[in-house]
Amino acid sequence: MLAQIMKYEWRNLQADRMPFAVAAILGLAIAYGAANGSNWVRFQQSNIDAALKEQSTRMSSIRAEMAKLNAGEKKVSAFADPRLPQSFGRNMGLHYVVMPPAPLGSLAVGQSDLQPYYFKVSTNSKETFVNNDEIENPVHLLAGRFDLAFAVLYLFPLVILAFSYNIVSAEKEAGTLALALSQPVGLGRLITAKVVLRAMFVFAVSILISVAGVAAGGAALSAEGALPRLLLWVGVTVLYGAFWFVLAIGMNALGRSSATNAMVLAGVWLLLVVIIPAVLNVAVKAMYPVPSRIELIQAIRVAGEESTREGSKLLARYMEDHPEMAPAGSSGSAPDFGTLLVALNDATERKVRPVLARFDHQLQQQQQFVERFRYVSPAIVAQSAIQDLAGSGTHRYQHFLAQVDAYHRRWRDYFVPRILRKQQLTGSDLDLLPQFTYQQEDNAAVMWRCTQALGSLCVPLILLGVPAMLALRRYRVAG
Amino acid sequence: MLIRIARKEIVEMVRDGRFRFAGGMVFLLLSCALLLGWQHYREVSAQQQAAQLATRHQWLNQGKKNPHSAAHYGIYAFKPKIPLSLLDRGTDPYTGVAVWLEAHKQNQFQYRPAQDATAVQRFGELSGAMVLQVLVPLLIVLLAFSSLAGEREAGTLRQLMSLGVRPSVLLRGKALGVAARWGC
Amino acid sequence: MLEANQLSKSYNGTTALHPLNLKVEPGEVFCLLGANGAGKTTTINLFLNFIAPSSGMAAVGGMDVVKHPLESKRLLAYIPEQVMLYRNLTGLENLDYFTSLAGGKHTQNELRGFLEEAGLARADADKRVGAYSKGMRQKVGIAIAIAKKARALLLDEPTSGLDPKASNEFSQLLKKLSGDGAAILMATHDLFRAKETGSRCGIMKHGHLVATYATADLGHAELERIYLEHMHD
Repeated sequence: MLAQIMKYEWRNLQADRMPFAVAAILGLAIAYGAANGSNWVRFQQSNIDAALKEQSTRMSSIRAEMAKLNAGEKKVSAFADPRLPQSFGRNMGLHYVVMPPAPLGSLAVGQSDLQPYYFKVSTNSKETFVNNDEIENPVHLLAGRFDLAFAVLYLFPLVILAFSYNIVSAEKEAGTLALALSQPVGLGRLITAKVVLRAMFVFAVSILISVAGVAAGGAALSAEGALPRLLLWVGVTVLYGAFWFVLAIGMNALGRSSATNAMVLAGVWLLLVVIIPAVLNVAVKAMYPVPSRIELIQAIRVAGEESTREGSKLLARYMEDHPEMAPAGSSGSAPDFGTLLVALNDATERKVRPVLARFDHQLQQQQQFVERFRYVSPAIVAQSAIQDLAGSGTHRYQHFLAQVDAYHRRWRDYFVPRILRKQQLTGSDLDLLPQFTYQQEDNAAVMWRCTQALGSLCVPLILLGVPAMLALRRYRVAG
Repeated sequence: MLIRIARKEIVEMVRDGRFRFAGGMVFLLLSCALLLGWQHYREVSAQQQAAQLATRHQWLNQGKKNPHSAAHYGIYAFKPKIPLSLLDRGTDPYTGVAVWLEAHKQNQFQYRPAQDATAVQRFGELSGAMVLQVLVPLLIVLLAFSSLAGEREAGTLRQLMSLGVRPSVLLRGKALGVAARWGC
Repeated sequence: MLEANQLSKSYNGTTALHPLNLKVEPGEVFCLLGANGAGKTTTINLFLNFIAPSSGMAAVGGMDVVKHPLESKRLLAYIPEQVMLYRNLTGLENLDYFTSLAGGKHTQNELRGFLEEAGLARADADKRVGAYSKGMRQKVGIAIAIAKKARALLLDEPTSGLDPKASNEFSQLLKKLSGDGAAILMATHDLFRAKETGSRCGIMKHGHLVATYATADLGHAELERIYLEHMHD
């Protein structure tokens, strides 16, 4: 019987044409979003390739320069001498650390247009190189990109609501509901058939076009973990869509007119997708305010000033702290510029560290708060899960930053002793430079987080679905 | 006649509890948004002014130096806030707050506030402008969507027409009613 | 076949239907007469389980409609004042859809046969219902009843608004269905039709069934007189 109801429901939809126009718009939006996401991934990749290419040409010209200098064919100032570890490690020989886009990066641009995905690591403090923002029109950042995630989070629910806001009320208004229910069929079964048909149609359109678009855009579906992630993405999309269907059923179960249903559902959409996230955003900033960056700039500057004034005292203190670094038999000779700079940086960093720790702490608190309260809107749950699967969210970025920290330490550990020992670099030293390779995030952890998100998308489904079913049982066609 | 129609619309709306509720919600959100916007504006502009003074002070008191190192020492420019930003922060979260001006080097603006926020930031920010641009139109539609169609469905439109009310007057009266409701 | 046992309905203190006892046997046509708001439609909605009774029970084929909502509807057919069909589907498709809801499986030819039996012109079966007149839609309603072999029919003012010819055709169909053993409960304002097709008629007033008569014992004029007498307070 379900199949029979669906068959005629399909014919009714076909005769209406409107649903197909709406579905076509959704399909186009999704295809456009997938294309946009794929372009963004390609753009990131080309930037990364360009950076790495620049690095390798720079390194070969440094080797050539070193050979010339060693042969005495050329003379340069200390600042331009790549053989000096302080010039090489602070300025000339910098290496890039890059976070390549994840295999499914085209699913969501996420935070990746805001957070830099490559840095040039030097022996200077981290603060000097982490502000490597891409030049980008802030209006684009404000509006967000029209990517697949936008189509899924914002447009997909609207299309679902357009398909189902009057699923029962229209039949009640047209009078066909009374005739249908005078047959031995329950309202529940009637609605099930109607919803399942619409859901199959909307889900098929969105998922097929998304997957085709992402695959055509060159996503590495054969990469490790890509397919399970894609499946999880399908799961998140389906459950998120199911939430909106259940919401529409619940609204219909209240027995109001189609016009009222449309208005109320539009209002709920606005509330869940726009207002509540905006309120959460304001709330989290009010609860855990991040210290002012303006004040940070001043703090760093003041710390730098103080350290400079302390001058040679600093160096003495540094050597006390790091006796192993003291160059043999150098006591008495005036410290050179490189050595002073090491001590200066060290002192400044030590002073600024508590301020920076406060930033990290507050951001961590914010993140925890959002993770605890994301359940107030399925849109937030879906957003974070989709970004996680696409590798453009907070988790993967934190993972990258931790690797950057580790590499920064290795870079310094390589150069600082050489600076203090005034040891010139040779061509063979260049082969031993610390190399950065991005370590993929633990796939199982991502899967686990997203499975949890799936579970938490089920909660509102049940919270809404059960009362909706009870209300449907009390639904009266007449009286 | 116009006034009379408008007055009837207002009475109907005032008696409808849903509109009172919706209006109250908008008022509450708008007040919260403005309050937070004002607080943010006050804080940030105080910081900006203090920092601008401090950086000037540092510049003047950097001591005797050769001009080249002084030019490299440079000065920071902090982006000022304008008072109307309490209503709408605009692109501020996505433009840097400061730029270091130094000799023969062009630095970029640093620290976009959105980078110091969670991903929820990308859903948008609750501001007075958002309430006015997004919520209020929805409420106007909510108030007015059934003003004619509803009368037609209830059958009262036929009666009104049979009394010789001109449709344009009826429409204007209803619009005036909704507008007046928003005015107060 | 149709039985009301102390059946009553009240809405927030106002009683729409006072305890009603009524039995309609197979082959019988029971006409409910009465002013608007007398409780006729309420009675029919109670039999359909569209509204829940405040007390008492409505039974179809011996089954309480509240306890057996689906089983009782297997025996029922319902024809409202306006038979509302899906306007974008043809008469035949509508019939197919509604009979399949009833769990029936029929070939296209059988379905066409039912429509013809209900008096719908052959060519009209494949037209979209949007273009149907009220009488034609009423016929599709009858065809649904025929197709599901309804043992009991609930009709809510089915002939109001039909022209005399269509109304007459409708009455003929009802007679045929009751001749085949269906129990028919019809709410109507049409005293003439009640006398013509009904085997009994009951007069309702303010939610009470105040009197029942066998129509065979009454002439047209007499029925009208009795009706008007009851309507006087």
